[in-house]
Amino acid sequence: MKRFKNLAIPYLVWLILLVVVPLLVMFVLTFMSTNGTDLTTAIFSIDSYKRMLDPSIYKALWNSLYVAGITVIICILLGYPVAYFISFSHLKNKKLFLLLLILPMWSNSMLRIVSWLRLLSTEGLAALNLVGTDAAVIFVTVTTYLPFMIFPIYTVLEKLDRSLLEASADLGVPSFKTFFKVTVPLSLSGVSSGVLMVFLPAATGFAISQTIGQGKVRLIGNLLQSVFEKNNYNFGSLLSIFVSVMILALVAAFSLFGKRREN
Amino acid sequence: MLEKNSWKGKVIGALKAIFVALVFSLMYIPIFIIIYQSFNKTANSISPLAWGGFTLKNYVEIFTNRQLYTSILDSLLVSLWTTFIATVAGLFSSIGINALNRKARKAMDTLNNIPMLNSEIVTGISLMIIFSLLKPIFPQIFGFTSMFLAHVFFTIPYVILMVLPKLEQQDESLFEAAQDLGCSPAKALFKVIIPSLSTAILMGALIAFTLSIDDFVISFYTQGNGFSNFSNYVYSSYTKKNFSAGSYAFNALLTFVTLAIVLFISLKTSKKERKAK
Repeated sequence: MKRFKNLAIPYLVWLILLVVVPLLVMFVLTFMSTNGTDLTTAIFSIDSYKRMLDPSIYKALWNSLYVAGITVIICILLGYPVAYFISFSHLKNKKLFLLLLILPMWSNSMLRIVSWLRLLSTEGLAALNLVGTDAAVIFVTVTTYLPFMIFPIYTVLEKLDRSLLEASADLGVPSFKTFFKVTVPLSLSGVSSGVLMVFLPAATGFAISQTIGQGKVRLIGNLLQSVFEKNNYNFGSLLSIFVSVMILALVAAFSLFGKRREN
Repeated sequence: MLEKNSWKGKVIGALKAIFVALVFSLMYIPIFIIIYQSFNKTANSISPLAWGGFTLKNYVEIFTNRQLYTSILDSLLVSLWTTFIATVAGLFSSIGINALNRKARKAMDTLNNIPMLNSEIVTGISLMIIFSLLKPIFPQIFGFTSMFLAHVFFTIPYVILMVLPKLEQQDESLFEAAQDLGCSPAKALFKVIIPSLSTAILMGALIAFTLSIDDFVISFYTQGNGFSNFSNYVYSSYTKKNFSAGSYAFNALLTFVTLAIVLFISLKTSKKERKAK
């Protein structure tokens, strides 16, 4: 099938046009002061870099890491046991559970967020003043991304060789010890892909923090959005590159950690 | 191991079931609210979730609120075209990538991963920048074209993710056998290789459609000229406080239809299984 090599060329061109070129354009924009993307009136400026000293950026960044980090931890604490109980249950219809897990995702995510907001601002619950707090943002983020944690863990647990657990039991190891010494280490690959699938969208989203946070919870996504709303493409580009570099560094560190553990 | 029938085992089993039910309810509460609101007379207001009486008016609104049904049709238009084009493009790109030598392959894999790993907001912004640079040449680019191209861009990697691993497991000798029997390479590709990938292709198409129809952030940056999608209609109408409860009705309707399809299929397969026995 080696002769079909050329079929990769259009996609390569497409990726260069839509991944590499925008990155270069953004990089150029960071050194300029422009009106939107109008390059005819551009002048050289390092204002964008000066603005990177603004502490509010790092506050938003910290908020993002905090909200996404807590979200991930809660998703593991809720998702791992669910995946584990379903995978190790004696139920005949495990597929039904998978279906039940997918079904909520077929409802529009924006509308689900709006529904939470309506519920949280209903009398009784409204007295708790949850709307506009970190806690509410984290809660809604958890419910939105929880399936992305349960899925990969469940898949790995299903593939786990049950005879290993029996062997451990036969050797007289108590079952909770088997769980922590055998099951958990062998399912870490599922946990780590779940962590990435939850952390990245949770840290960079802006819809939940905007609606549930009512503008009081400012994450890096909200900052980016407001900068582009004000038509500042120069600082916005720098901030975008900054966010991308952070993400790529995080993913690289994560996969490096995973490789080291495998060895 | 605990005895299955001991009272201790039973209690633990019940606790497990309660835990699973609680976690699932977290994901289902919004769905129930959507269905509840779809029949609620006062769902349109900004007022809390109070029950204002039963109505089907919200369902009528799907067909009468122009902004709402335009956004639904726009969503469908973009997602159906995206699914079709991204699946075809992803399939042929996978075949191309599969044929590359190891070094080129690795570079391609890295590039292909970027749209999946990068945050949606940065993807949306960088596409918006490219489209606004193209605007002087194509004044009408914002709207269907920009949103469609953006959706194709972020869904192709997922199609490749589904198809490429299956292609790697493919037995090369099948392809050679077809050629020995007189097929041209292209014919062997269409008659032997592609049919054997059908499950992976279908999965890829399904993921592409699901991601496309639900997308908010990337569409937020690539909408324009009055062309938007359902997620963005919900967001902007909710912020502007002219939100239509028809949105709940539309979403509830979709839930009912998918539930009916799922039930129908599972009933049919269980009947088949019973017959097989």
